Amino acid sequence: MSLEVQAVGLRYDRTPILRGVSLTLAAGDIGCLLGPSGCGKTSLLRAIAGLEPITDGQIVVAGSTLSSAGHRVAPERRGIGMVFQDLALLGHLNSLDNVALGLHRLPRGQRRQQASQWLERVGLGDRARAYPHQLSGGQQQRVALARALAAQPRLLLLDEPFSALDTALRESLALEVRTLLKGLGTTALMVTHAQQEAFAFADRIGVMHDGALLQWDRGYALYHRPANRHVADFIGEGLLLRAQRREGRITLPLGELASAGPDGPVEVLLRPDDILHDDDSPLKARVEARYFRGAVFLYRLRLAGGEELQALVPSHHDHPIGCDIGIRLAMDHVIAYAVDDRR
Amino acid sequence: MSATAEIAITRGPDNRSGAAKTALALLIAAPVFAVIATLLASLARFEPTVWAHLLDYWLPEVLGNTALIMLGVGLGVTVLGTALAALVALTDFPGRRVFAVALLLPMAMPGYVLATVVIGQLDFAGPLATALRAVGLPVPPIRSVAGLILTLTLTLYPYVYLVARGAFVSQGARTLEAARLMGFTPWQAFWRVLLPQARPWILGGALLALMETLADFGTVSAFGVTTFTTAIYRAWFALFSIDVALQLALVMLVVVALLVMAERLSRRSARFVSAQGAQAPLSLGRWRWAASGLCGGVLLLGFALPVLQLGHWALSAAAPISQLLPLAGRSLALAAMAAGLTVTAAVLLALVARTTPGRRLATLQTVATLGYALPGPLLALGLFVPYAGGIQWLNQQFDLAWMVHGGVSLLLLAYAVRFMAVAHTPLHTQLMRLSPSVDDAARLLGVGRLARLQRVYLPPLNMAMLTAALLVFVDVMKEMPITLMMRPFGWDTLAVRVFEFTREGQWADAGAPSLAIVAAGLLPVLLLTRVFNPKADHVS
Repeated sequence: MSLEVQAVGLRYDRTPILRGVSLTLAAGDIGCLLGPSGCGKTSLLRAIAGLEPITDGQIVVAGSTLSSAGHRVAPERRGIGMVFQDLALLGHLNSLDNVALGLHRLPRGQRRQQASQWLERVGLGDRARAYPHQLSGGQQQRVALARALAAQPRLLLLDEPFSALDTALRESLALEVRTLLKGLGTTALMVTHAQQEAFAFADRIGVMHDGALLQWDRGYALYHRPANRHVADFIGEGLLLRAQRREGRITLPLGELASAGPDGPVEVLLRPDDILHDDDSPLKARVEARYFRGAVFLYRLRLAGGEELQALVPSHHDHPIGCDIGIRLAMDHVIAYAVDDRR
Repeated sequence: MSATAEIAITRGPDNRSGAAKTALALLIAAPVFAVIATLLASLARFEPTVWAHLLDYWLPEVLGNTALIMLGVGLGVTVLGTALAALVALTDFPGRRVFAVALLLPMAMPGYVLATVVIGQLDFAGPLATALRAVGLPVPPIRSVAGLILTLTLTLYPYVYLVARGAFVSQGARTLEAARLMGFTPWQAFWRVLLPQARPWILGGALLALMETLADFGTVSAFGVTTFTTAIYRAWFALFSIDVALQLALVMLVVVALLVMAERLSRRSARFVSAQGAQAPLSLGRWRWAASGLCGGVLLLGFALPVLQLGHWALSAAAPISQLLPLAGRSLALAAMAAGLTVTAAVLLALVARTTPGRRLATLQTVATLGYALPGPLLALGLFVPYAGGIQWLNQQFDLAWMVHGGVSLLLLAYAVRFMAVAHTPLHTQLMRLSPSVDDAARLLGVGRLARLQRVYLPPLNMAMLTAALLVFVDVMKEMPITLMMRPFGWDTLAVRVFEFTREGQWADAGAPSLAIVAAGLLPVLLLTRVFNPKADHVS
C-alpha cells in the first residue's frame, strides 16, 4: 500500500522533534531514512506506526488518513508492522509462538501452521522451538521479521533492525530482506544510520537532519546531486571548496566549471572520485595524508594555494607523504551551494 | 474507521485510561499518605504540656539511645559486612565457597530471637553467666546498649555483606587486575581503588540496616533499652496517651525521612557495571586460617549456637509442642493472606506504572513503596488513628457500635504497607528487563489490551510473583511490633508469643516458636543463594 507523509510536525512539550516532513512511497516500494542519531527518524517511524501523536500535517496509508493533528487511529488498527531496534521478542515464548503472536485471530492449528511457514520463509524452519536467548543475533533478527510479516501488514516499518549485527552480516541480510519484501510486494520503510545499508536496501532514501527531511530521492541522486550541504556532508565523502561564481562560471585552481546561479561566493562539492591522479598533469598537489583501503588509496592533498582536496587513487600508485603528485579534475556535474558571507 | 478506534494512549493529551490507572495507583499509595498525613496533622494538635513532658522525660533518653545504637550498629555492620564480603569475594581461604553462602544464614534469625538466646545465656540464672561466675570471671552486663549493638550487628550485617559481595564479585577481579597493572599492590588496590568503587553499595546496605535498626522493637525491648519504637509502644499501650505517641512518632518520622533521603542519594551513585571478570582470588598466605576463623566465628555466634540453644530449649520445654499449633496456624494464615494482598497490589502498581509514562505514576509508585522505611509502631499508629477516627465518626452518624476494632483487615493493610517494597522490587526489576518496545510490538500486531496483559506481561512475571509472595510471607511470619499492636483479640502469633516468653524470662518455652520462625526465615535465604548461582539466571 502507498504511504504519504504530508507536512508532518511533532512536538514534545515545546521541543520540535519533526518539522514539515513530507514523503511519498508507492505501493511495493522500499524506502529508507538516513540520519545521525537524534535527527527524528525514529520518531517519524513511530508516528507512522501510530505510537506517537503528530501535531501537524497528516499521515495517509492507501488513501485513508491514519494520523493528523489531534487524532490518530490506534496502532493496533492500522495494519502496520514494525521490526524494532531491540527486536522486542518475548523471552518466554519460543520462535514459533513469537511469530504466532500476530496471528492470534486465527484458530490455533492454522496459527501454528502459518507461523511455521513464515519461519521457513526466513530460513529458520528448524529453530521453531528455540527461545530467543538460544538464537544468534541474525536468527533473532529473522524471527522478528517473520513475526512482523506474518500479520501481513499493509506497510512494514523497520527501526535500525540490523544495528546489532556485524557489518558483513548487515549488508547481506539487508539484501536478503529486500529480496523477500520485493517478492511479497510489501511496502516498507526502514530507518538506519548506515549509508551502505540504505543503498543496498532501498528504492528511495531520505536524509534527515534536526527533525527535517532534507532530501527524498534515489540513492544515486543523493550522492551525485545532494540538495544542500548537509546532505552532501552526510552522504559519501568529499570536501567543500570555497570559490566565486561569476556569470555562470566558477574558477577553481583545478580549472573552470560551468555552474548556473547568481554571482557571489559558493562552496563547490568535490568528491574524492572527482579528482583523478595523472602523472602527466601539470597541476600538482602535495600528499598530506593517505589511507590505504585495499584497492585504492584515499589521499588527502593540498594545493599550492592552501586548498584541501581528497582523491581516490588505485593503490599501486604508492606515493609517500610530502611528495607532489599530478592531479586532474573530472567532474560530470557541478554541485555548488551559494554561501551567505554577510553572517 | 469509527470514532472509537481513534484513541490516544501513549503521551496523548486526552489519556482516558491514564486517569483510571492514576486512580488505582493513588488507591494503593493512599495508606502511606494517610500515615504521613496523620503524623503531620498531629502538629496541629501541638500541646505545650505534652511537649514539656516529652522534652523532660522521653526525648533525651530516646534520642541519646537511638543515636548511640545507630552509630554502633552502622559501624558494626559496615566493618563486619565489608570485611566478610571482601574476604569471600577477593581472597582464597579454606571453606570460602561454603562461607560465601552460609554467611547469609543470620538473615533468617530475627533480632528478637537472637536477643532471647543472648539474654537467656547471660541472664543471672543463665548457663553461661553461671559458668562465668563459677570460674570467677565477671559477667558482662548484658541488658546494655553494648549488648544490643552486638546482637543487632550479628543479625543485620548480611545487608552490607550481600551488596558489598555483589559489588566486589561483579567488578572486583577486573578492577584488581587493572589496578595491579598500574603498579598497586593488592592491599593498596583494595583500599585505594576497590573500596572507593564499592562505597555506594556498602553505604546503601548500611542504610538499609540502619532503617531496620530504627524500626527494631523486639530486640531493644528485650534488652530493656528505650528507643522510639518502645517509647511509642509504652505511650500508647501503657500510658494510653495517643498524643504523646503521635508526637514521638512525628520526631521519628524526621529520622526516617533523613534515612530515606540518604538511601536515595546512595542509590543514585550506585550503578552496576557488570564486568564478570575472571575470578582471581588473592592468596592470604598464613592468614588464610584466620579468615576461616573469622567467618566461622560469625556464623557460630550469629546462627549455629543460637539454633542449637533454641533446639535444646525446645526439647526441654514443659509445655507440649501441640500448644504451638494454633499459634503457627494463625501465623501461617496471616502471612498467606498478607502475601496474597500485597503481591496483588504490587503487581497492579508495577503494571500501571510500567504502562503509563510520565513522572506522576513514578512518584506514586515511590510513595506506595515507602513503607519499608516506616517502622512498625509508627505505621500502626498512623493507620490506627485515622481508622479509629473514622469509626468514631460512623458511630456518631449511624449506630455502628459493633465495628469496634479494625480486626484482621486493618492488620493486613499494615502488613501490605510495610512490605509493599519487598513485593514490588522483584516485579519491577522483571518488568524493567522487558523492553518498552515489546508492548508497542504487541499493539502493532493487533493484540488487545487484556491479551497483552495475559501474553506479554504476566508470563514473565510468574517467577517474580512467586518470589514476591514468598518474601512477604516470610517477612510477615517474622514481623512482631505491628502484629503486637494491631492484632485483634485472640490473634497471637508465633512472633508475639516469642516476645512474651522473652519478656517473662520463659526461655525454654521460647525455643520451639523461635525455631519455627528461623525455619521460615531460611526460605528467602535459599532463594538468595539461587540468585548467587549464575547458572540459575539465564533467561533474560
